[in-house]
Amino acid sequence: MAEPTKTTMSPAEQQLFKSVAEGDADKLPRPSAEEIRAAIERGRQAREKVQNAVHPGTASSSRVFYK
Amino acid sequence: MLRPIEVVEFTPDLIAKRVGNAKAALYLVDYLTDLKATAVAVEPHYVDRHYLDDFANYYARSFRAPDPHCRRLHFFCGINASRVEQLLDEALLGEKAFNAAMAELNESYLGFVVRRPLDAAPLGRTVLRPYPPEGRRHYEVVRPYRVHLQGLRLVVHGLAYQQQDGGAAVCASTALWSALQRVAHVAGHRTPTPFSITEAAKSPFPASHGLMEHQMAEAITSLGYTADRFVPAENRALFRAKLMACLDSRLPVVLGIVTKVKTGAGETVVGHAVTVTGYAGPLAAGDVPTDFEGEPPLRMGSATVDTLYVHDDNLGFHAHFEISDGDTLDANGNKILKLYRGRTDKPNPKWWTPDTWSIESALVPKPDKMRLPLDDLFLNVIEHRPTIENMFPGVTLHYRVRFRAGVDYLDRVIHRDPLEPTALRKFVRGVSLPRHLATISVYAADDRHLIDVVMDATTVARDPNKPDVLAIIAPGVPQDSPAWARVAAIAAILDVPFVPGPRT
Repeated sequence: MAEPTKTTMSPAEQQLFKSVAEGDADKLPRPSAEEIRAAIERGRQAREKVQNAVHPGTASSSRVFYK
Repeated sequence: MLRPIEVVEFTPDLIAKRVGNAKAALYLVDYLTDLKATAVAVEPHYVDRHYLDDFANYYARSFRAPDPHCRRLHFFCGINASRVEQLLDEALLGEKAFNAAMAELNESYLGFVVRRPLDAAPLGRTVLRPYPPEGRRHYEVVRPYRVHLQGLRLVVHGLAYQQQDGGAAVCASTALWSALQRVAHVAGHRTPTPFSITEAAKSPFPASHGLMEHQMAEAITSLGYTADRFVPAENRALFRAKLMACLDSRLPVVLGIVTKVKTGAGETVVGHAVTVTGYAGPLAAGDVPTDFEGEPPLRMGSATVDTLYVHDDNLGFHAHFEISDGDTLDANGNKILKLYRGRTDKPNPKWWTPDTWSIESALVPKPDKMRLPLDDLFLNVIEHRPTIENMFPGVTLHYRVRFRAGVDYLDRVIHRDPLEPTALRKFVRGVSLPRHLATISVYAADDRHLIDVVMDATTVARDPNKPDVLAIIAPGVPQDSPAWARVAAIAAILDVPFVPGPRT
């Protein structure tokens, strides 16, 4: 059974989606290029291992006639 | 020979008289009563392309051939028979009157039923407006049907249904026929007839034997479409999520279902096929296990679906069915996924005894250029999840995946999503999108739509060293917000366009 969905965002989460004054936008923290590339690589590896585990052929086709 | 259109008041007796008392006819009466049908216009001589093809290839060569033509019944709500009669008459009094009559009839039009001259299966091509959404019903697999009645152009949005006749087609062909009504429309093709589907399946047996799953897939590909499939097996949550991904993509799903029946000698397994046309919401987000032990589950906003709307040629169209995990095990030791052909939230009709089947597989006809497998929609989430989590640190996220037409997505971006005007203009002026897209939609816990990660769905081969993202569209990420700064940095590394939401 899936746990119920949380239906609100915390104040800290909401802060992430509030615009700052235009002059301050350049000062907002950004992830570094290394951090981003590491996340991309983690995702690539995760995809590869899951993709290798997927074997559509192992779920054999039914021999039942649908009618 | 002149045979005028007959207009009468809608009554249950009328349906019994014109269509009979089979379960499909009783379903039709209940459905039209729920839609508050008031009047019926009957075309006494109607040539239906789908029946005609069945006739030419099957019935014409039988010993007692039925008539080659049909009747067609058109249903209206909110106006009585005399008003319909009056509008049909007034329509011929000049262009202004014609357009006024057409507008009023269109407003009241519920759809039509082709009455075939087959006593055992009179319900031919039937297209009726679905039930009103009322905030919970999602009929995703519908399309417009343009109808001509006395030269008036009427439109109904629905998905064609018909009873299986057992001669030219049984449930497997009929379920595919309904499914392909939608897919052919998207692909810009003429819809295949029941007989052409049965023929395309290349079964060596008579049509009455039914079709096996691989024969149904053969029919899909022979007719110029792509077949995709998925099974519940050990991961019923993933099956539900895939089912929902198809429906959100407005792709029909043909479910292969089985049950055991008693015979004179013991017990045997029988199969049936039905077409899923929609689902009931709202849906809570749920965890979907991945196919690799150790890879965390995906939080999907679609994994908890339990009510489906289904075209079942044993019963009727957009019928309310329910899916749930069963207690019994399949041959591989996995819990079965049950399909309850009825409803548990209120009484079922007296003439219908609900029953429970086991869902064995799902077959999805797709437009031929939608080459990306359904599995890849989920692999895309696995691949991009670390990057997306990096965009929104500390935020509880869930995902929905779907295929979309490139033109429809662009239309949505221009007209529906709140986006920052300068970035939107730059994107729309410069973008070139493929015919079919795959998108990951990312939501916060309060269901706020944060971003779409947009990818190409027309290509299977991909460069594993280069993420194949085409754009990041972010209606829920306001310009100049902390999240905006993070997404912008990531979009720059991915070298893709990024369109944020307006400043807040």
